[in-house]
Amino acid sequence: MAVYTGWELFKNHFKATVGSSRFGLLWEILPSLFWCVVFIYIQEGGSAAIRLAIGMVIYQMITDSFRSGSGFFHKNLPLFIQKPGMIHATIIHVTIHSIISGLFKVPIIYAMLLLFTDIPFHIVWLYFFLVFPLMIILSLSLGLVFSFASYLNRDLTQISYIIPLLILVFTPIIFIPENGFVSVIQGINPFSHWLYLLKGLLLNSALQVERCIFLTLGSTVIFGFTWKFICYTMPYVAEEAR
Amino acid sequence: MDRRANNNESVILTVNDLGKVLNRSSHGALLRVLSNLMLKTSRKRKDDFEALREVSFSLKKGDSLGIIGSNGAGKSTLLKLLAGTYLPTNGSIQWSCENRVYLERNIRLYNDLPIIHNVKTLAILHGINPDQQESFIHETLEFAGLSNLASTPLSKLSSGMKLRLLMASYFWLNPDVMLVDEALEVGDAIFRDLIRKKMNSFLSRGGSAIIVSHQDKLIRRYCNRILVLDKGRVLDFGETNDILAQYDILR
Repeated sequence: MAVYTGWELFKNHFKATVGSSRFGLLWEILPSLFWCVVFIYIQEGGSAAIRLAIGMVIYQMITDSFRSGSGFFHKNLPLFIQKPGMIHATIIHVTIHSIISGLFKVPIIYAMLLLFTDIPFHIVWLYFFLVFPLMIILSLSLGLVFSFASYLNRDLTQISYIIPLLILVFTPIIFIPENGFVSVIQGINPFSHWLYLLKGLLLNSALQVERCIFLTLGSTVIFGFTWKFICYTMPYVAEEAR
Repeated sequence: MDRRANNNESVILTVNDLGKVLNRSSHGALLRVLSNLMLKTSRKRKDDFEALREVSFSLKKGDSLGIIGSNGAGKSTLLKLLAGTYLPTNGSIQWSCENRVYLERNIRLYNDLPIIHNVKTLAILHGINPDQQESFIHETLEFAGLSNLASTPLSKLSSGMKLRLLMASYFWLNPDVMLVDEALEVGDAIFRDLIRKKMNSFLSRGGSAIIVSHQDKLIRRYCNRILVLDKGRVLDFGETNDILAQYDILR
């Protein structure tokens, strides 16, 4: 029932937001395209610019889903106060929305690679459509936990605005140090491992099975725990909303 | 109260020794919640207060209960506990019917999107079947008097109009029990009259309402039972007319 309600909420909201905007569906890809154009322009083309642009599109996907999660209680608590049972459907709604928005970015990455590099398309690239949702639920989980903490603490609300910047620093997108503190954090950051997996898929056209299983299980388990955590903590957060 | 033919004696709600501790402080909310989650302690903290204690009563099918008391007496806390929004610190709440709705003044919908989209969202949230959603949308808009404003963004409505929309949607649901927190006296005289008619028909078909209000005429009109709260404790519980005759809290 919650899955159906969540899906219906997503459909209804998606239709309305797309319908009420002049550019409609284009808004799902325009911000990413903008990033690509900016990076390619700054770097004047070249493979480094393309890699950076693709990295920024993936980064944008991570931060978009983080933001969807981190605003969860601020946005939905009045609803949960009246309809506590709606929390599952709302989590499903937010998850579907984040995943669909994220998947719109896959064709941009394909287009960048095919238009601006000499890498030929390989069937294993289609794994992107499985890998991205898992990356998204991981960043959504991080956002949901932050939503709980930031609703109850104003300082953490401010910190949640800084988190996307920290993700950029601690994920090997624009900055990959050889050693030091940032390097250690990048080494344990699961987003780094997702990026290495994607890089492997693109450049070697081979799936690193062990890494893939580990990340898939890890992301799914973390998301499951976060879901439970959010539902469990909701009445306690509602008490503080008086 | 003559319309309240209490012919079905089945108990729909049993509240037993209910207590709720809340905290007044606006600081340290995160630590407080984390310690509640992890320690499950009943240790009293600074600024803790008993919003409710030792509240016990029961309600039969067809009964309607008015909850009265001065500000801070614990009326809304009790309603939130009954709605399942809050967890009791101690005691228990047992419902024997599932179809309940809780209506308070504050709900956040999609302000920047058209009214019709918001009504559709309400239909989904209420779990209305897709084949009934059209009639829900049509009747809700009509009852709220917003049929010709369906494509207007919700943000253009006053808070009273938004509440009308919400009220209209809840009446369509035909629940077994309505939990209402000071939301029945909304809108103009014509809309209040519509609500009165809807409430009367809801109650006469055996529905139950639990109403928090400061208005004695409202409680007299809809409720045959009354619960008087004072500083979180039950001061009195019984027949509306008997109790209201004793207390002048509401006048």
